[in-house]
Amino acid sequence: MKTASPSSASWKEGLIDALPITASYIVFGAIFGMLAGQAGLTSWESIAMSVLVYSGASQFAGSSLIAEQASVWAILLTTCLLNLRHFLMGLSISPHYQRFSTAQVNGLAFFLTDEQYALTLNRFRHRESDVPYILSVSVALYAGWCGGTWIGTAAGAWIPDPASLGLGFSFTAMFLALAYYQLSSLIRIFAFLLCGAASVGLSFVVPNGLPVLIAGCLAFAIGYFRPSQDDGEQTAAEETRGVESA
Amino acid sequence: MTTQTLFLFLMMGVLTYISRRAFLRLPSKHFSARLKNGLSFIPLGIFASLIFPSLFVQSGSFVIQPMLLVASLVCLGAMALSKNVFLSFGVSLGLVVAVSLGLFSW
Repeated sequence: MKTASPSSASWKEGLIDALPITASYIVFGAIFGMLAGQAGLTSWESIAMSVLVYSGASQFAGSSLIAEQASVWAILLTTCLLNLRHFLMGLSISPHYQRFSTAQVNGLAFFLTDEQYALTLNRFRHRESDVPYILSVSVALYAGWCGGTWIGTAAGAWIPDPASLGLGFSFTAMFLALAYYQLSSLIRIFAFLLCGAASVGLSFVVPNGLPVLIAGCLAFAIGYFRPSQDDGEQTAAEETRGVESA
Repeated sequence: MTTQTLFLFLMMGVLTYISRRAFLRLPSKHFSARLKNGLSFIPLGIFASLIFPSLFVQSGSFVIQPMLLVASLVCLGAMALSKNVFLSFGVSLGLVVAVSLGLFSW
């Protein structure tokens, strides 16, 4: 009997794991396509933006600024601010990318969205990192986003408001379920609540994108200066899976 | 599509890519035990910052949305009981969608 290779098994697991978020990406990609059309972008421009930029926050903000006829520099500066969180995401997941070639890291970097980060980080908590898994999650989400944009440009008028259906909660629910695994000790629960409170407060005073960066730095500082036994064990386990296997 | 629009999207794409790639692979010699412990905490901050404002901030104002808070607790409770991400995701989102559609009153 033929058995699936580890690579094809990883592909399949990645596609299955990404399925709920891919569905959300299609819905929100469609919303983007619809709003981009209202902002004055043609169908091709909307799709090109999703294909080339592939960043929901930057695209929503960018299309809104285009509608307001903002300058190119204002749009690029907004993009930079919204992307600041990626620095920390890349840094925190970097131990799991140590075993990949430079070409693989260069390619995978394009797909590092919030949701891809959350899904792959959860996988690497208990499994060794592997390219086929990251790639299958990434391709599913990317296809969902670009395909959703196309649907939005073609059928924008018929797309229901996701807020009225409560679908805005889909990302929160997925992040919550994945964050559960991170709450393994009192100090980590404390860090989670503190960062959450700080993010809420910061969201009133700093531009979008910065609260994530600041909360990530705050969490890093807590972990760096207050290492506990539990966390040491967890880090040691991560070392075995990630850095030392490089 | 004008050349200027295409150039703008390309620049936005390049800036996004640079932010994603910049720290994605650092040489392992930079990872001390303490640094690794700090890095293991970063997801907590990122998750918290993606979750809490979506529950407590709406249109620039602080809000308390009991339905979303209950759904969040249901999600965490389902995770504690089942350790199943999809089940927890589905149950909590299903609750919010059902209430939003008026399938049962809140």
